[in-house]
Amino acid sequence: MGGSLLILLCFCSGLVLARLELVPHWLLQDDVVLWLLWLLMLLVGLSIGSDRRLGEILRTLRPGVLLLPLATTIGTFAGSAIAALFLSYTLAECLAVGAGFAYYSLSSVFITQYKGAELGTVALLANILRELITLLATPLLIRLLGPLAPISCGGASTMDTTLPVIARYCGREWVFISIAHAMVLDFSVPFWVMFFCSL
Amino acid sequence: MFTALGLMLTGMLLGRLLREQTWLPCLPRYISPVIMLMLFCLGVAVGGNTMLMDHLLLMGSKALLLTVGGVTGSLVCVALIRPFFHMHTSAGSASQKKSDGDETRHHREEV
Repeated sequence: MGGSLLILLCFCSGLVLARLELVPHWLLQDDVVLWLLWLLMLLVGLSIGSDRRLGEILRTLRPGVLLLPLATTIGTFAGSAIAALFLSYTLAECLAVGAGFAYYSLSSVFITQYKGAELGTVALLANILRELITLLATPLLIRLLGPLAPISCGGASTMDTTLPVIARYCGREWVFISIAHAMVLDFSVPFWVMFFCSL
Repeated sequence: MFTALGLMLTGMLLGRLLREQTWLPCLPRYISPVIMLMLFCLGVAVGGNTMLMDHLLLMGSKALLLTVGGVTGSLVCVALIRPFFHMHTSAGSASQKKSDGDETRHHREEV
C-alpha cells in the first residue's frame, strides 16, 4: 500500500504544481514522459537480460498464456456493457471506448474519426484512467488477486508504459506474460474499435 | 510503442552481453525512482492541460464509469481463470519463486 501511496503522491504533486503553474514550461512537453519511458524500458531490458534465469523463464511460457488476453477482452466488454446501462451512449459506443484497452492514442483517434470529438475525448480519458489505475494500484491489485490482476488491468499498455511497474512489483518472471498479453490486445484494438464504431 | 519495445530488447541483449559486469546488478535499483519521476511528469501533463482540466468533471465522470466497468470486468475474469492459469505457469514460477522469492519480497518492502 505504501508503494501505491507514494506513486499517487508523485502524480498528485505533479498535477497540483502544474495547476498552480509552478513547474517549468519545458516539463509540460510530452517528450519528457516519452524519454523517461524509454529510459525505463532500457533499464527493464538490462534487468531481464542480466538475469541468469532468463532461459528458465522462457521455458515456462505455454499456449495457456493466451487465456489472459482473452479474459481481459471478455471482462472489459462485459464491464463496459454494464456501464452502458448508466450512460447516454449506445452499447456499441461504450464497447468501442472499452476496446481501447488503455491504448488511448490509437483508440481515441479512431473514435474521434468515426463517432465525433466528444466520445473521442471520453475514450482518451477512460483509457488514460485505465493506465493510471494500473500504475497507481498495481501493489494493491497484486495483494488482492495476484500478479495476473495488474497485467489484465493494464490492457495493451503492459508492453510499454506499465511494464516497468509490473516488472517491479510482480517480478521479472511475469514480464514475458505481460508482453504477450499486450501484444495480442495491441493488435486487436484497431479491429475491435472499428467494428464497434461501424455498428 | 515499437521504439519502447525495441529499447527493451536492446537492453536485454546488452544485459545478456554484459552479464559478467559487477555494476550491472545495481541498475534495477534505479527503476523505482524513474517510475516516480514519470508519474510526476504525467501529473504535470494532466494538470498543465487547461482543456483537459476544464472538462475533467463533465466527461471524466463518464470515462471513470467506463474505466471502472472495464477494469472490474477484467478482474472478475482474471479471478475465474486464475486456477487454470496457475497450472500453466506453476512449474516455472515455483522454481522461480524458490530462488527469486526473497528478492521480490525485498523489492516490495523497499518501495
